[in-house]
Amino acid sequence: MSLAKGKKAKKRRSANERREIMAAYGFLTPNLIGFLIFTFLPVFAALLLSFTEWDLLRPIQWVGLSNYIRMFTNDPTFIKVLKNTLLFVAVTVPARIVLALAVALALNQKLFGTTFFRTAFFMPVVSSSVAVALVWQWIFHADFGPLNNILWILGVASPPRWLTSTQWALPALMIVSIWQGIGMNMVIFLAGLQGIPAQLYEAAKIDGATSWKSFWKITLPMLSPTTFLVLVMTTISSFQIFDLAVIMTEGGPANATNTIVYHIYRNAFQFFRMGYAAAIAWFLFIVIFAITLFQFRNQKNWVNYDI
Amino acid sequence: MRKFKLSVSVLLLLLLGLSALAIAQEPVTITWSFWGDPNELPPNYEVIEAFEAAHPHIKIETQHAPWSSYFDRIQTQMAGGTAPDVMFLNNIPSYAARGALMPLNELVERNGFDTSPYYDELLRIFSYEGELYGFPRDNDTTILYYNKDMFDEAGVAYPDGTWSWKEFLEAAQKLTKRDERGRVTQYGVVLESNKYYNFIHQNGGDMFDDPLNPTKYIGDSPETIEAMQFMADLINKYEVAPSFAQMLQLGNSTELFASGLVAMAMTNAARVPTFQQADFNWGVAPLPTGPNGIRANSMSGAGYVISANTKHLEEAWTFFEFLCGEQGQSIFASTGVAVPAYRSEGTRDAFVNALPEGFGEVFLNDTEHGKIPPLFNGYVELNSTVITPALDLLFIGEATAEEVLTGIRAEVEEFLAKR
Repeated sequence: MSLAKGKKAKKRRSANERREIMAAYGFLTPNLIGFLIFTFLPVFAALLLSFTEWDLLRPIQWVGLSNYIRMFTNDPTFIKVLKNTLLFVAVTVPARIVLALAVALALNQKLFGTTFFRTAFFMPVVSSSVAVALVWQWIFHADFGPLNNILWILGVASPPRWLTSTQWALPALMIVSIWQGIGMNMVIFLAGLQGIPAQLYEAAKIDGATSWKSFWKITLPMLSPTTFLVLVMTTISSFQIFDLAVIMTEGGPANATNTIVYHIYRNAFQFFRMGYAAAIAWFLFIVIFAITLFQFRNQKNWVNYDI
Repeated sequence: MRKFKLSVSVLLLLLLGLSALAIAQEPVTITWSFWGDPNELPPNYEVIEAFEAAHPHIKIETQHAPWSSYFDRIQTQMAGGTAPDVMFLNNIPSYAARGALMPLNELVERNGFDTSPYYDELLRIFSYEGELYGFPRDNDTTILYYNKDMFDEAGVAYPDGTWSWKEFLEAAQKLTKRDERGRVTQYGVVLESNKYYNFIHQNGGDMFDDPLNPTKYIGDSPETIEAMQFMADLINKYEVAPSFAQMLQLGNSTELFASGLVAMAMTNAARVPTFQQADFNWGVAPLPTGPNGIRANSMSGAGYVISANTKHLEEAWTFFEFLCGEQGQSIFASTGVAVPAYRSEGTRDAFVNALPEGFGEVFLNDTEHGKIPPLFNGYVELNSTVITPALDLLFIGEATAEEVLTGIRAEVEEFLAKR
């Protein structure tokens, strides 16, 4: 719609409009140059690098696709980090969205203290990851952490060893990540909720709809563009989990919390395998790109842009 | 126009001439990089001061970065061909294999530099394929620190240097305290995850047939398995030591010992200044011997190398010779925070005098039993992708030493074969 309008207008642009367009490009240029130099070029260079072997010092060697083949045939750690990351995404993305929506719905009411709770739920977003990770490390401490103390009081005789167990370390990281991720999604959902015209609810009420029904028939459909945005952003950020794993567990125990991005970092800067690290980075990029593309293609089935 | 061109070229020539003159007059600048916490830095500047006073034509420019970012930075500089002339470095073989370091055999011989004061074993880890690439600064000697107050309270006799694992374990058990729920509130000992080679060597075991040029994996030998199981049992069976995963949350060995949460700590000399501020009495003793009386300690340390790309080799060597010789090494030894790798009377006296009475000798004597851990090109990768994940399972008690050490045989052998 808006694209077609723009085409028509192109033919007779006034001097004023042209000036505005020039100004727009003027404002965009610094950012575009930054994107070109600091994002596009390195990403493109990494693509070339992914077909080579390079340890930073010896000359670069062209090795074709062997880095990509190595991932699946000759690097058991990669298979492990791939599984970890997929499991992490599969659990945290739905949780981060559903819980954020629930919190947003609760805090969208005109009740006493909502401002306080909104701030409280948003706090993790603006807190430093390192500080957050350190506090959670303590919360998860198997013997003296508050979490296991509560579980013990509730009668759990041998609560999980959390970060010191191969079984529970990844779930522990998921919990922190979900807690950390709710705030941002909540704010976006709140904005979305406030954009839904109040008369829709009033009309539904007059027609005798229950609030449960208005939620399913009005809130969810009207919120779908917001949900779509949140879904895409949350998926991408979940795939990139790195900082929590580094600080809380160093990828351990026994690679239980090792992730794709941490594996990239270690290959590049600890094992001097720049080419291989670049190949994994591109693999991750392709996976994220494919999933995002699928989400965009699929949105016509459930995302509603008509107001 | 022509006039303009002419004047430009004249100007350029003039500038060139001027800068050439300036270079001729100015002293040569040698860049020197090192890592370290602020409190570790003073001896570095002391070395520079002493050196520049004796060699006015050479200026030393320092490049300092904290440990966490030092190696990324050096890597980048090496890739760009702008590595510092003289560097403080570890993992020498992996850099030497990639041609980043200046080979020293010929330089040492030509200048008659005396390498005999250095521990032979330590020099081996600064070599690669028969060529020497640097000199160690200090040795990472591990020592048993013990909290005298806790020993007195538990009625345990202080370690007298005759302990074997048996006496060590008994003491640790008596020094461990639990609360009513069975949770440990005071540990008998705190270990360091990267020091497991001490236990292996004390039991006569090893991971590879040759630590520097391995051809065979022997990590599943009975001696090695027994040693690793003993270490894991300290954590999981006897529960006298915190697990390493727990230490990520509780604090490292220094913090745990200094805050009075553990009775013994196995760590190096760098902790002395921290422990001196603790409000309890403590002492040091040599590490316990293995069941068969074998005494073994760590032999590894960081040291100095020259960049392969230095543009002033002669001046870099002059500084390097000073740094790695009697004078430079004595300055570092006099801080008392690390056992000097250079064994001269001067460095030994400087080290001993810097420590409380009786301490220095304990460090120096146990260093004589030092054995080198594996260190070969590719070891860092093998260690973090295969060995460490396996040992993680052992140390959190989800597998036995036999299971993990026999379990990784195929992967380790494959790695060694590809090397």
